[in-house]
This record gives sequence, structure tokens and C-alpha cells, in this order.
Amino acid sequence: MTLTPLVEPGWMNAILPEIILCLGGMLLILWDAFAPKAKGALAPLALIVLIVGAWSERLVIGGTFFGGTYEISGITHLFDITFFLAAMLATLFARDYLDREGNEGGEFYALLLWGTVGMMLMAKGLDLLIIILGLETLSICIFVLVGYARRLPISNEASLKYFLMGAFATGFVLYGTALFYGATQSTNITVMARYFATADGSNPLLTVAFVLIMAGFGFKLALAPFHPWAPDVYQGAPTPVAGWLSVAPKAATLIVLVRLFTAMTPLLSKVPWMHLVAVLSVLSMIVGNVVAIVQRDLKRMLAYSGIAHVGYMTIALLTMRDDNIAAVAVYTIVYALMNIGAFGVISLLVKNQNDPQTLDDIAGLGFRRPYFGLALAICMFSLSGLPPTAGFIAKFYIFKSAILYGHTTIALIGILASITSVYYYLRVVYYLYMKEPAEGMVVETIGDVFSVGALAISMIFILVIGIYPTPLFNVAGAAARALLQQ
Amino acid sequence: MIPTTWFLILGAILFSIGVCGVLTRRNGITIFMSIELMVNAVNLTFLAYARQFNQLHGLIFVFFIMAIAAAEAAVGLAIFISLFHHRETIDVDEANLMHW
Repeated sequence: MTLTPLVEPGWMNAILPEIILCLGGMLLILWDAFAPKAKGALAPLALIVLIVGAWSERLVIGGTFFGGTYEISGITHLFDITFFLAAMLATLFARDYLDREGNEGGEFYALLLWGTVGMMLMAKGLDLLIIILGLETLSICIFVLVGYARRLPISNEASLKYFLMGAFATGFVLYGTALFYGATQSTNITVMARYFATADGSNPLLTVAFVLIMAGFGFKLALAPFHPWAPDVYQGAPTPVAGWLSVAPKAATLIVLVRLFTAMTPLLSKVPWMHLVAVLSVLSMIVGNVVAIVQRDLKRMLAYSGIAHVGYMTIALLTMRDDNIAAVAVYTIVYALMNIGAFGVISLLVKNQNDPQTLDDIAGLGFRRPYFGLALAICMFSLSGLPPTAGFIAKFYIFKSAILYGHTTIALIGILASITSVYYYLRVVYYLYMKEPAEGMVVETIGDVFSVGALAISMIFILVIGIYPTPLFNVAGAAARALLQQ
Repeated sequence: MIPTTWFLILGAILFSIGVCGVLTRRNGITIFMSIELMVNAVNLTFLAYARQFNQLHGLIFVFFIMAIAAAEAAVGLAIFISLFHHRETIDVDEANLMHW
């Protein structure tokens, strides 16, 4: 009797970046255990692991692996780059921050790397089982990272809130998956797509399953009305974690939704499911932008702005065409650069983490520390979508493709919401350059070479993509077309 | 043989009880137990379908869900213990340091 191999040849190559990150995380924990004095080497070590992992992406050949449950293509490469970028920026900002707070530890970087592995599994999973395993790997890492400053009550509380909400949302995703399994007899997206191609949508189970899945992923994306956890969690989490958390898991969830919606495309013309997604998108844009106006705490303001940004990105999910998918992919990369950059500057404010970091703390920062002030100002310009920054290009393509495929009303709401947002983003710039700090209230900012470098990366890429976006859009467009042709 | 529908109805009822528990209970551990109930309702649904389709796929899914729930429980209980250190309570309404 011969045993058929369970895995295809070349499987090792297919998950090379994931293996590198997993082993790297273990190495970091062991390093911390055996060389507790050399904590300063942890962040550079984590960076090396991330760079080697990103480099090993070049060796990965496209195709499907593990019995058709795992797919590597241009779009997964692109999203992997976003995940690596987000983890690198978070690591660079975290070193300084953790050093100051006195809780530098190997497990912090290890969890960051393992969380990245979870996201990569989500992006590449072609089976709902792989996607859910990736989602849980990611979520469990986030639960711990949010509560990493365990001596701070606020960090603890944020961790508790994210844990209860996250586990609750996972329940919804799982139940939705179970019902999809009941309707399609498979959890493999390729097989499900064959069912959706012939289904007429009359099966009520399918609608219930879709609503449950959207509710679950809506929690993870912080789409209104599933958003209330986001501001509290961002405020309580260590600031570099908040920056990473506001970007990377959302990108991973978006690529999963892109895959699901692409598989469902033949069915979507027969059922009104996309109206639900449109409602979530509009609600997020309105709630996010309006509530952000009244926030004085910078992290909470960025949380509400993040809710609005997910709203914009969701517009592009309404029609699964190549330029929509490319627009989402580019938006996530740009959003990673500008949002982690903004959170990064906030993480440099030397302040008790239990107190909120408010607008008053950055008053006059533009003159006291010109470099950090400029970095925050550029991130704010980019977030508000003003040219010549990358934020403008990303938003422009989202709205352009929405209008092209007939979602004019939603695009209009998006543009109006986006104009509203200029007010609270530019208020930050106003405080940076036109406001004197109150007497005796000067908040110190300290940044070492790591955070200065991370801000340089953010600023340079924001401006370069803003001025010359063609190469990035060509890559994203080709990847999106390849995804749709399967 | 018991028809699959009955299992599905039981699963739906258990899931709803779990959701109601999460929304109405205030003790952290009880909320977490309600979430576990939801997850077990999902397991039951998977098993019922797997039996109907005569497939291994759904059964394997259940094993993974059990592993996921166990991992979540480990981290979750650690978070509750850490919260208890600060507050001497795990009532989630007491976790109110942050307001919008």
C-alpha cells in the first residue's frame, strides 16, 4: 500500500515567510529568557526577522497548496507587504516607547510577529477554516498586546473590552461559517463559488449566514454600528500597538471580504446583500467623522477617524472589479503609513499613559520639535486627503471607481464626510503651529533613532506615493486582475 | 434517525441563549461562559451537517473550533485575573475608566 502525500511538493517554500516569523518570535522569547540584560537587542532582532521574512516573499512561488486551501498570488504578496510594513513601523516605535515605560520584553515583539502570521494566513486562506484559524491567531495576539502594560488599569480595561467583544464577534463568524457549510456543503471558497454560481438566493439560510459573517467581520473592522470598542481599546492600548491594531487587522479582514465577495459575485446580483454593506459603510463614514469632531483625546480622535476610513474602504467592496480591489489594496498600504505614523508621534509624548493625550499636549510642538511636528502634520494632511499626499490619491481612486460602477450617492456621501473630516485633522495642525502651550504644561517628546527613522519612512512614502502613484497602482491592478480571473 | 433539522433548531436556540447571556449578564466570567455556549452551538450545527452530508470536513472543523475556544479561554481568564488584581471585581460595569 502506498500512502498518498498529504501535501504538495514545495509546500515548505509556500509558507517560508510564515515559518521565518514563527521561529523568529520563538527566538525573541528565548533571547529574553537567556539574555535578560540585553533587552536593547530585541527590537533590532525583531526588525531583522521582519526584513528576512519580507525578503523571503521573493522566493515564494504562486499557486494553491495544501489541497486547495491555501493560495499565493499577486494580491496576497501585496497584502503581505502591508502586514510587514505595519509590523516594522510598530516595532520601530515600540522600542523607544517600551524602553521609556520600562516594560521592554521579548514577548511583545514575538506577539507582533505571530499576529502578522495570523494575518498572512487570513490573506492566503482559500478555506474558511484557514481564515478562521488565522483570525484567531491574530485576535489572541492582540488580546495580549492590548493588555501588555498590565500594571496600568486602563490597559487592562482595554484588553478586557477587546477580549469580550472579539470573542463575541468570533462566535458570529463561526455560526455564519457553519450555516454556509450547511448551504454549500463545503467551507472551501473555490467549491462555495461553484455553488454560488448556480444558486438563486432563495435559501434563507444563506442570508442569515451572510448577515452573521458581516456582523462578525464588522466588529473586527470597527464598522459602525459595531464600532464602540475601538476608541476605548485604542486609548487604553500601548500607543504603538494601537497604531498597528488600527491598520493591520483591518487590512487582513478586508482581503478576506474581497475573496468572499468575489466568490459570491454571481449571486450578489440576485440578492440585496450589498445594500447591507452599503448601509454599514455610510453609517461608519457619518458616525466616525461626526464624533471625531468633538474628541480632544488624540487617540480617540484617530479611532473615530479610523472608523470613517474603514467606511471609505468598504465603498470599494460594493462591486468586485479589478480597479476596486486595487483601490482597496493601495488604500490599506497608504493607511498603514499615515495612521501608524500619526500614532507614532503620539507615542513619543512623554506622559503617564493613564492620562489622555490631548490636543493641548501637542500645542506648539511644531516649533519645539520641528521634525516630529512636521511628521504629524504630513500624516494629518494625508489622512484628510489633501494633495499632494498619498491619502488624496487613495481616496480619489476609491471614489472614482465607486462612481464608475454606479454608486454615485454613496460616493457623494463619502466625499462630503471626507470634507467634514478636514476640520478635525487640520485642528491638529493648528495646535501644532499656531497655539502656545499653556503655562508650565509643556509635554516633553523623546524620540531615538528608531522612531525618527520610522517617521522618515512614513513621510517619504506618503509623499512619493502621493506624487508618483503609477507603479503602485500598476502592481495592484495586475494583482487584482489575476485574482478575478481564477 | 433523528432528523438534522432538530439539531439545527437546538443549535439556534443555544446560540440565541448565548447571545442573550452576553448582552444581559454583567459578570465577566458569566459573559465568557455565554460566549462558550455560542461556540458550542456552532459545534453542534457543524456536527449535524457533517452527519447529514456524511463528510469528515465538518467534524475536523469542530476539532479546530474546540482548540480555538481553549486558547481563547486561557488568555481570557488571564485577563480576568489581571483585572481582579486591580479592582477586586470582575463586574464589567466597573470597567469604566474611559468614556467617549
